[in-house]
Amino acid sequence: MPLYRLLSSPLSIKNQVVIFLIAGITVMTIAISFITTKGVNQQYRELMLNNARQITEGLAKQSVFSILSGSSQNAQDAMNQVEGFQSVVAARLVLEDQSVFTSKGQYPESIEQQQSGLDNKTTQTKILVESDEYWLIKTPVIISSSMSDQDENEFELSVEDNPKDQVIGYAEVIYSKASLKQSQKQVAIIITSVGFVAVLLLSLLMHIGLVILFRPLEQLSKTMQISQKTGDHIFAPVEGAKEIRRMARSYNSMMAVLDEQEDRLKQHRDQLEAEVDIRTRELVQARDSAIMASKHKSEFMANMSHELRTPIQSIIGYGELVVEELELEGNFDLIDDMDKITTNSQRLLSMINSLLDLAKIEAGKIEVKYSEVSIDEVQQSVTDIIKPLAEKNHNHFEIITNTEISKFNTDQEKLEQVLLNLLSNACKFTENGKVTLLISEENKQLNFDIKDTGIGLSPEQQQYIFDEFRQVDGSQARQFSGTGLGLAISKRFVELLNGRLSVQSELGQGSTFTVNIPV
Amino acid sequence: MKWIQYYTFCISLALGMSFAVYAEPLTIVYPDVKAPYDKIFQQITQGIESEFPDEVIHLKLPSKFDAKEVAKKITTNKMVALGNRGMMIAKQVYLDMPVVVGALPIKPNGISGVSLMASPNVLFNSLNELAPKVTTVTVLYTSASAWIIDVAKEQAKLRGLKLNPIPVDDIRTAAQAYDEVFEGENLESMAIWLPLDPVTANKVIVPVILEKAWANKMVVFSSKPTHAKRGALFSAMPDNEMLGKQLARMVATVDYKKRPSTVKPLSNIELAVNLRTAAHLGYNYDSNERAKFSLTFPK
Repeated sequence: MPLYRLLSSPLSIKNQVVIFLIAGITVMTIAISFITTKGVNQQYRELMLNNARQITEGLAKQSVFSILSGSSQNAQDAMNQVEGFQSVVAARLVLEDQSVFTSKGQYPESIEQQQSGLDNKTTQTKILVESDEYWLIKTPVIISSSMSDQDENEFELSVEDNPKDQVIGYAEVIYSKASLKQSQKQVAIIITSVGFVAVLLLSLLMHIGLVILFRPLEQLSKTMQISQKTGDHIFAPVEGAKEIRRMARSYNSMMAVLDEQEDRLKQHRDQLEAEVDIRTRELVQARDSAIMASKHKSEFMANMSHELRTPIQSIIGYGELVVEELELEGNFDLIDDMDKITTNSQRLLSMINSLLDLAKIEAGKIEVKYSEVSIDEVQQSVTDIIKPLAEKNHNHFEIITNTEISKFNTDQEKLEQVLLNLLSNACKFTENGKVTLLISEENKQLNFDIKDTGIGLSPEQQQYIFDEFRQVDGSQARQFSGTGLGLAISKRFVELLNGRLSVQSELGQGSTFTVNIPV
Repeated sequence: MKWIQYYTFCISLALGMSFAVYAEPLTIVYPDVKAPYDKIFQQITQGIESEFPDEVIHLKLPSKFDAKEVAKKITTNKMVALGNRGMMIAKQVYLDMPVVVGALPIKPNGISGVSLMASPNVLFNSLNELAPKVTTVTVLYTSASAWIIDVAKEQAKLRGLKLNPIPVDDIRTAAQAYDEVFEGENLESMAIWLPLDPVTANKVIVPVILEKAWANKMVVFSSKPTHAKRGALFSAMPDNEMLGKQLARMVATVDYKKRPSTVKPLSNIELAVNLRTAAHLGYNYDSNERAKFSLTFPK
């Protein structure tokens, strides 16, 4: 398993550490065992080789006299002594010409074969042949020019006065590797066993130690897990190693903070809920009161309008009678005054009608009467009323029809009232300009665009012109008479006809009011 | 009064002549060696100083040196050279001044001196005293030790000993000769003399000789103390101080132009005796006799 996968595996940190440590110890023990075995074996080999060299050199020293004297009998003691060594298989003394002087034991065939092709002359002790089973050590038998040991050389004549060292033969010893192999095998077994036991013991100790060491961490982890599952703020025991205690303290602090915050949130929530409840009740109450008040207002206005219209109509009626009588009498001075009374009475009646319409709309008492309506009739009706109004402000009025529909179902009275209201507004706010009614068809809708070249509306004004009792401003209200209810009523009427009333305008550039009516 | 004046003049002349002989300083060149060998050279130089009346200059030679350069530094007209290193210096100057060599087994070869080769006279005397049953002395010699054999023959004859000198050319013939000796008869009455010869007393064959001699109850004597230590009955060691004196006398009188040179065997000796070997051979020495031994083995 790659390391990064192990790190992100579902294993616990304790188990991961145990795996790491055991793996480390195992690798280390194997490496140490291998190196130690190798080292010990090498050392043992060197020791055995040294021993073999010493035996061979000893034989060579002891054989000097026998070779010099040419008597193999003299060498028997030395040969017997060498053969007495456990690992010595065979020994041989050969002369300078490689002829065998004396021998003991049987040379293995493999050694004989390998030796036959070699240069057998040597001036120092060396391994002449090495096979899997044997060493053949060879050393020269030398006679020294010196009479004594090195320390005493000062009392001897120098070399030039004495004969030089001379090789008179060779001592060969076949040394078996059996005991070396046996020993190496034993060393390997012992070291492997010790290593194996060491790994087991260390692993066990490590496991116990780590279980104890990681128990607090595991406890902390479990506490966190329970807290996560249940959502409870459970506190962990503060124990174990320094880092774990620090983690537990931090976790506990976090839990305490969460507890505190949750308490505060609860308090806030309860408070808010209580406030919302109160406000809701107040709003319901206010809404109910407002609905009731509006209803009463509408009812009052409807009643009042009706009651107001009756006397006004009487005034108008009687005024007309008075005018007729004054005309007959020729009293024209009073006729002008009476005309003013009539005109103002008409305006008052119109205002009262408007209020009545609005009140009816709000009270839901207005009815839509659908009937087949001819476009030509509508044009005619509108032209009759608007044309004089247009001329009053020196405006040019025209109607452009761009539709194949000639008849459609709608409430003719309300449609005409809307168009008249919009066109009269256009004529009122346009001077020496042009007022156009464009009738067109689009997507099963009839569009009535009332376009003028008048004073226009600012974007702000466009926001509130459809509100009740609102005119663009006081000064204009004075300049242009009106109740401020026309557009509001028109919008309500269009909506009652399932249509839509909108405006596009720019201050000083004129306005276009569009009425969309489904057909 | 004339005879008194004449007598006084003669005495003054004699003293003057004697002063002329001794009135020159002497250089001793010898190796700078470690203990215990330094003591040997110390004893020899003490002997020289005690015998030589004038100034004695010591020149110690390190293990490596340039012999010619060292020879140039010698300012005296006489020199005693000791040991192998001393011999190397002697070879540089022996044709120009009186030089004698000591502490080496030299033979008459151009440079005079006292050889470490013990005098047969004193050796045979010791043999007679320590091994009276011996009647025959066998000695193997090469050209290096041949010069002493003639003297040995005479000295043996004087003491009723039969000297059996066997000339050999090399170690091989020496070994064969020794082997034949050990195969002979009456070995118990025979002694083997190991002279200071690199062939006949070579270290590789001496142990075998000693071993075979032990087995055959033969007496072996030599001029190396280590031989006694290893099993020879006795070895003759030089009396170093006496050797020094002998060298001082010799350098005062030697004629360095004379050929062949004068080489004398070592006559002042001390004895190293192996008491175990003696006991093995059947010899026991009383305290008076033991008092004469300078060294006994085993210690």
